[in-house]
Amino acid sequence: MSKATIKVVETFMPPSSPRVEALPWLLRGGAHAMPDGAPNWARALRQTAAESFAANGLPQPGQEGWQFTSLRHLEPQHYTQPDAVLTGNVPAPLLADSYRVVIVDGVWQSHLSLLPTGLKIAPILQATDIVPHAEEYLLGLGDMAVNPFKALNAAHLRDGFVLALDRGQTLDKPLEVLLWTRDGVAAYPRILYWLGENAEATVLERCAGEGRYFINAQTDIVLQQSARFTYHRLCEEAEKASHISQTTIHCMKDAHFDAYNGAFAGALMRQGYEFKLLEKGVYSSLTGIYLKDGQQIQDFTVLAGHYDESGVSAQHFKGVVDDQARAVFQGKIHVHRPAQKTDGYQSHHALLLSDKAEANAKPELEIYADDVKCSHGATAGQLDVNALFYLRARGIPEHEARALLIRSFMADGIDKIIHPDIRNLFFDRLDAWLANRGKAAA
Amino acid sequence: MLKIENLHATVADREVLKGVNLEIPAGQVHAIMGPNGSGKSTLSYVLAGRDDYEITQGKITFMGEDITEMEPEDRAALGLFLAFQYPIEIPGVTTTTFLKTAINAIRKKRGEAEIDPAAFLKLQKEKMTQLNMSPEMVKRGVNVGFSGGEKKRNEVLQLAMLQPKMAVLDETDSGLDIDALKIVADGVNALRGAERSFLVITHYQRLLDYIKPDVVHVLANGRITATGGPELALELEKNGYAAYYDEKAA
Ligand SMILES: Nc1ncnc2c1ncn2[C@@H]1O[C@H](COP(=O)(O)OP(=O)(O)O)[C@@H](O)[C@H]1O
Ligand SMILES: [Mg+2]
Repeated sequence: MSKATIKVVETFMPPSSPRVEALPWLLRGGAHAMPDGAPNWARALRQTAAESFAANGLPQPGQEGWQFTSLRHLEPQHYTQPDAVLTGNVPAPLLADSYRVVIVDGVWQSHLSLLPTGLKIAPILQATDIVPHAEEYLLGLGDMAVNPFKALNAAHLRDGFVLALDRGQTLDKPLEVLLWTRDGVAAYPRILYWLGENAEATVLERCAGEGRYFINAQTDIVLQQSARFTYHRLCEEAEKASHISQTTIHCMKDAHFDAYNGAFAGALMRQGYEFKLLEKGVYSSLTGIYLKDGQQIQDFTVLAGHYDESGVSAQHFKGVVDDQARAVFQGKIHVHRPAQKTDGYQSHHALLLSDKAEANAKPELEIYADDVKCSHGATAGQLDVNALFYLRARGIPEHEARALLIRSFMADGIDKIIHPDIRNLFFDRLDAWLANRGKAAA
Repeated sequence: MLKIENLHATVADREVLKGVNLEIPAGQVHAIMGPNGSGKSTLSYVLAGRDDYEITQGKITFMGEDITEMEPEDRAALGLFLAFQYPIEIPGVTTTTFLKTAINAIRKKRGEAEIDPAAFLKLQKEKMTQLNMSPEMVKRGVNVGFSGGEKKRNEVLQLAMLQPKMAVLDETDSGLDIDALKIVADGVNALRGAERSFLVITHYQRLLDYIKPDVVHVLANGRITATGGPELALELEKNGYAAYYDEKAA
């Protein structure tokens, strides 16, 4: 939090053979020290994670899971972790009628919160005060060697928040969470949304910032039985920003999860989603929408893990890739033996607007149950010349006709967003991008 | 109004139009009939300016301008309209948006102000009623989920809204039952006038009972092989196209 201005830099002792490129990340600027009274689980996690990262370093070119996504843009010397004392303003909320939480440079600004009374929210290090055994979810990062960014985030564990809804509690308005990151900063927020049985909430997270920065976020969403969570992420990172995030959704019996992830701008974006359908009857969906140009990279890496019966997971991605930009979709559906009657579907459709634009799709199925329906669909194509001619024959100039067709391609994804104001925000971003493209063409 | 001189065009490296000559004065309705594959749609696309159809020889003049090399949108702004044989589906763009965008693009090119939105909606409603279209159709993605007949009606709606100087109708009758055919023909006839010309492409004579042409041409093998009055269409209906194939050798 902003009030805690901690100057002490924790010295981290790497194991005997650290990967050299790991060290600048861990030592440069220094990870903030843990405040006094930090819980043991947090200290332990941080230590383990730092050791893991030091041993493994950043993913190497060609490493499994990272073949298509170059980390060239990510140079440690560009970033420091400041004390995050907030000076200056942060952008106003996008939604007129919403609750609010603000994170700046990864640090929760509790004084800027606007929340209903009685809602449980706490700094991440105090997670266990409001969610018993929260550490189980916070520690369970899986194999940090496979995804070193999980380790990197955990090695800096200190900032972020936990928000918990009690059994049956409903947020009557959407919660808008701003993750604002400033020039030169490496931010490592950790967020936990915890919804008790039958609880219900709608969240809009907006990731944005200024200059060249690096945000490495780890988010966990825990949905107890029959909880319903609608999660929107509007990532409109700065042009030179790198955004690498991991989101894990832990779903209990009959939980219902809908997510909409819009990725606009940002030089390098890798968004990992892991779905854990841990009990029967879970419904989960994710709609990913992206617009990329210049040399931007957009990577969606998704694992749908079905652990129990009658779970539905549907992840659909649609995006436009222009110039020399690149889109990556790595999707895996993993159906464990008890997960009969699983319904799993993943798709990725990319519209390539230039010869040098690229889309890479790597779909995978790993199925150990016999009564399941699982499939993948991936396409990469160009604008339909017949449709383009049809529009032009009606008098619509070529660049305008292209814009209409791009909008037409993207619209069905955005149209799925139920909340009208949030849907309009996504359409606004699309229209702004198209207008900008039109200006460049003119 | 429209003059086509010695028009040769190739599609996918094959010559499909092999010297078409045709002149349509203002106010007239000309019909082109011909067997499948004779090049009727190719002619319509070439007139509208489709760029994967290459003109290798000849000239097209419209409204006194040489439009042979003109972009499709500029031809439309000049007043040329093509009703497609196979209208395209455009999900996510409603017919209303599509039409308003088209009308305003044309107006802009002509240096005119944008259409008043209320006037636009009123006009659209009026034309849809004439064409017996349900109001909900223009709120859907262009042609998405439309039957063949609905797509053709939507073409005529666009024609009625854009009010071009010259309309090329490419088999607008195909896929229509007799009631729909009458509605479509009435829609077209309502637009006939001294300042507007039509080129009606059809495979069957039936349509010409409802849209009475001034002149009928036969297109066979990439050339106009016969020209006559409405009686030519009746004769074709009776005797088929065989006789007109032979003439191409001549
Ligand atoms: N896009 C295309 N690619 C290849 N061949 C084409 C294409 N369009 C038309 N053709 C060929 O050109 C000839 C004329 O076709 P078309 O103009 O559609 O005839 P019609 O409309 O009279 O039935 C046909 O042999 C057809 O196969
Ligand atoms: Mg045809």
